[in-house]
Amino acid sequence: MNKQRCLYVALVMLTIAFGAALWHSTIPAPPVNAPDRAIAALSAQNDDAGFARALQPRDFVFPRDHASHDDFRSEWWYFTGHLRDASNRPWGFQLTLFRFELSAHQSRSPSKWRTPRVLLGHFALTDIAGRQFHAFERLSRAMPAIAGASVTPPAVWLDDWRIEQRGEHGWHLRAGQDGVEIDLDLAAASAVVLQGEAGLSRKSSAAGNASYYYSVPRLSAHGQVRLAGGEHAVDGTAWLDREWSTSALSREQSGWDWFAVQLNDGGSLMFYRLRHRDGGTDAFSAGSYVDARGVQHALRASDVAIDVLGRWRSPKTGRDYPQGWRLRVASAALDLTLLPRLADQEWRARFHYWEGAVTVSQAGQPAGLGYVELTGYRPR
Amino acid sequence: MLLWRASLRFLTRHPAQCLLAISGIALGVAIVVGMLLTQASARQAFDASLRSLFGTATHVVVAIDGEEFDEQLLALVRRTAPALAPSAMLIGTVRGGSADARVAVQILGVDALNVQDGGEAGEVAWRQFLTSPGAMLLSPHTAQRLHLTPGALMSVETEAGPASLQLLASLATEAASGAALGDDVAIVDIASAQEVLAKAGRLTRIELDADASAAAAAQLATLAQVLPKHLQLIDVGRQARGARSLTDAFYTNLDALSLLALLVGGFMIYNTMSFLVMQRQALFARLRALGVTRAALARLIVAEALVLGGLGGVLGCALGYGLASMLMAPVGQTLRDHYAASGGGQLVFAPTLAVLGITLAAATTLLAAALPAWSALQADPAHAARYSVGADRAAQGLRRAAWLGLACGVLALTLLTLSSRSLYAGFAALGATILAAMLAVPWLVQQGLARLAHRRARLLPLPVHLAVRGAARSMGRIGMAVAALMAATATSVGVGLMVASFRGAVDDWLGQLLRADFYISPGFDEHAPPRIDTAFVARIAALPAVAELSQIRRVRLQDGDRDLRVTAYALPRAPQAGFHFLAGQAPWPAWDTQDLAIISEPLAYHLQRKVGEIIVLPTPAGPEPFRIAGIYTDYGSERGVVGISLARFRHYWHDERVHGIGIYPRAGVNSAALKAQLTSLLPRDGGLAVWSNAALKSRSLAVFDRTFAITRVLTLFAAAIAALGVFNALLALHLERGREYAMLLAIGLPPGALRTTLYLQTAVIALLAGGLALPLGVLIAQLLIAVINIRSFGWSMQLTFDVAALLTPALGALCAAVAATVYPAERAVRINPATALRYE
Repeated sequence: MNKQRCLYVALVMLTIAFGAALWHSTIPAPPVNAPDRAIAALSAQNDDAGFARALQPRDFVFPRDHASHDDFRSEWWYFTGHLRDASNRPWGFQLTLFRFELSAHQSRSPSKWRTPRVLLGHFALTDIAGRQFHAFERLSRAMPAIAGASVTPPAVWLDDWRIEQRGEHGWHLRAGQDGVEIDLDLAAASAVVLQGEAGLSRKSSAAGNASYYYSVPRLSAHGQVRLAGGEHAVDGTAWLDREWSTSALSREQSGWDWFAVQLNDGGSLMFYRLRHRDGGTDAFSAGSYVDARGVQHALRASDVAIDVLGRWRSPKTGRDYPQGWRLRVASAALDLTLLPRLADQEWRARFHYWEGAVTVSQAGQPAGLGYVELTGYRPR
Repeated sequence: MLLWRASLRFLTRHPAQCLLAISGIALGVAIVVGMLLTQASARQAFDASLRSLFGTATHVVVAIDGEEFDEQLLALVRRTAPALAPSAMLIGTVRGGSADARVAVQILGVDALNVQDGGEAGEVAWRQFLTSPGAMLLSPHTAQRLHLTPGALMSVETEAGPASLQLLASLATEAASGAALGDDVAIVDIASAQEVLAKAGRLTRIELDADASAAAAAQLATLAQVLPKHLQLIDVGRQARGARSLTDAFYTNLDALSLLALLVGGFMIYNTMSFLVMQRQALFARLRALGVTRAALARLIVAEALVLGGLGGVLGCALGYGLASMLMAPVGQTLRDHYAASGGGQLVFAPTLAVLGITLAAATTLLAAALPAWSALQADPAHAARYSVGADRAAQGLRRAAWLGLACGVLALTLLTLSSRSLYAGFAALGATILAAMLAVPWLVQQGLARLAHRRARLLPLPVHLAVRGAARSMGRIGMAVAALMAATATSVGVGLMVASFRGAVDDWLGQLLRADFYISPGFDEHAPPRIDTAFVARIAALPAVAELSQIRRVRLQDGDRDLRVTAYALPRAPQAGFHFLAGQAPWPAWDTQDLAIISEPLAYHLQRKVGEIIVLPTPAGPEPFRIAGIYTDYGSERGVVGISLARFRHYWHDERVHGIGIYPRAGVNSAALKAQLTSLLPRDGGLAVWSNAALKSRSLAVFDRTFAITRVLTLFAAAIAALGVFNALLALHLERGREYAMLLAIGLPPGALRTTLYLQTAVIALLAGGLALPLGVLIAQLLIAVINIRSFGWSMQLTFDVAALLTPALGALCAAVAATVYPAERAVRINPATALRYE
């Protein structure tokens, strides 16, 4: 038997003479641990044993290098872009899939969960006309039917989000949630740009603290945007950043500001500013400028002057972000003003950062479109 | 200043009374604070364990049969309901712990990616948690209990064989939800869970977290549509509320007990304070005569009350904390025994409770002092200095109280007549009954004694006559204390009788039910999976010593929001006779061929079902109607159980495994040899055990006794407080009458006769209180059995008279009263009459 329960306890009663005034004293709930360290752990530095490292430039081979490099700890496929429908309604989008290996060793196990591979997805649609930023995150271990990154077929997927390579430099992107969806075909409209030293992008003076990094600064995009029950046929341009490595930021680096600009003259500019904790710019900040003729010019930290034009404090997270920049590249005769197309393009999922569509102008005239990513800003 | 010094001087010259006053207040506060603290801690632990069961999930996807399902379904759920953050879990039980203490440990396999880091453990530990096979997290309490420090290995036995887990860290809060980590719960990554439990590819549930958005609502609706038939989507909020409402009866009882404590404590404090005031009536009168105003005296009494109340309150809080720490273990054990929740554990100290306790003490003390102070101050100084007018005035109140008591009695009857199912109404009626008795008894006693003394005066020996008259006259002063003693005694009697009746009923029931010589089962873990397969059953059946077997299989079904427990039986003739049907007929002839169900009494009460009606069971094949053939006695679960045929269960569930078998040996078989033979056939992992009939019964009764241990402790405590109150009140009475006794001595009453008179007077009062407590106790027991038990749990039973339960509390009251007379009686007979009478 068991149970009896009863409890009865008893008793008693009496009580109730007091009109069933039951007393419940309030006890403070245990504190909930707010910070989610999952991401930090995913990209943590220790235990590099067994991973390949980016030590010297490599020969990039396409389309093979568009696909996954499993022997590096982390890798991402980073698409951003600007879309318009027939009525000229504008959208910005971001679709990023990250691959992380938590360990270089795969234990033998009957459980499919016993995999060191984790995929993280970020999909955002900036509805510029509707002043709305829709952002969705997915996270899963690599498991059949749920998430994975493969070389054949060359694809990365997380549930029904999928980045699949089509042809040598073409892609099909599909992502959506809660009625917000994109379904796009992308075709490269520019050459691959190898960043850093022929694709080796050093992040600090430590050997191996570097990534392999290339971009496709201009892709033509065609497809559909679905939003709030409406379906819009769209065209536009996209930017692809591909990076893989076994390292991350060094201790004194607190975050980065990343700029990707597609100029109306056909040129493009990418620059990332690694910030120190004291606000200074790290000497390993770098980028590249591809002029209208397609000639690539490497940019070092000292080549680019950045002035912050204003700030925006997130009412939701209290983080204080720069908003609006003047970017001057004297060697390229560029003096660009970048302004967010929507102030609130802040990610508030496991990671808090700002990633958004910006307009680009020079001397007061529209000069292009861009995307800016701001990480490592703290609440004030 | 003079006044304060007079007060201080009085208190310091009567340290014993001062101490009595403070201890009286402290005990009253202690029991209230102790109960509330225990309850708050238990409730918090219980909620925490609910959270550890359900996480912060609002909905879960589970299999209809409660078993595991294929993890492939996670992909479907993730795609269909991405806004609900689907999170897979695999849950199982292993046996593990230190070599000397093997306990059942619940393995909570969570997706570590959804785990929020506790902060201290850091990223490295988090990653180890995800990547190291067997890495687990425990609460500090559990880690300590199992003697594990971080890095230590714990070997465990599972259905699949031995395995080991390694303690990665102990976390005070459960990483996944921020809730306190439950006892005997190990959190592991789902990969480790699948490995250790040998359930690769299986999930127990998928948790969902739906916010109030339209997208979440839409996805929930879609999900409910697309889930395969053997899975279901459950609203956890509703289910958790259901689990909470189950324990509501438990807490209602504890609440009621707290209020009893408060009432008894209040009486205690009242007695104490009136004692202090009455004793100084002459002093106050003199002060008044000297020109001290009433207001000044009132301020003095208020200040005294606040100081004593504050001191008593602080002491009471400390005592209450001690009491709560004693009670936590049995309360936690009860929650574990009965609700499968890891309640108990650490005591939570709430500052609000301390404030409440001290405030309560001060306020009650103040209130308690107000009445005697008012009557003392109203008195004419000249008169009061000689005679206790206040006592007579108080006596006038008895009649009014009696009328109030009558009103309470009418209220109780009305409540019982008007409401037939409400537990609260049941408690209210019970409370009103006791209150009615308390209010009416002092007047009744006074009237009875006065009449006895008046009419039979000449027939009684002088000491008896004096004793009876003295008792009657003192009712105004000590009536409250007597009533409190009677109520506490009656409650002890009532609870004792109810528990004894209940235990007797359970004992009988077990004796009827447990007819096999041996049982093979996983023990008392009702969540244990079925581990006995047909091959094992066949091996047992093939033993030459075995004549027949019974088999049972339990399954928990979700019927809407209700957790439905179904037990499937395959029974030979002997155990069939173990079922006692309250309604309907034994269904055995058609048991295996028709869809018949028998339902236990609590289920019939809760569902309000009758014989002949249909109960629909959600089977894997879809809802199936079973006709209710009978309602049977079962004290095994207050949730209630549906019994069906094992053959029909197998037909619908396609599952051959069972939880337990009962073994009926052939005549003349050596029991010890058979037990050894059975034991040798058991799988080695320790998941199954052979129980003898007697062992199973005594273990069941041990659970029963443990359940009632708290009840006994609490009623004893309340009775002790009441006894102390009577002690105090009698002491006050006798001391107050010092001059009266001196007068008796002066006019020639021998000291021995005076002593006899005093003891007799006490005995008369105590016997009255005790004697009246007996019928009231029986009435309380009957109300508990016929009203509270039924409304709380749906169990019926017969009231049986247990002599010990009946008489022990009454004898205790008598002893307390007599003990209270020793000091004043000895003092009275030794006093020099001339000194005592000087003021006359």
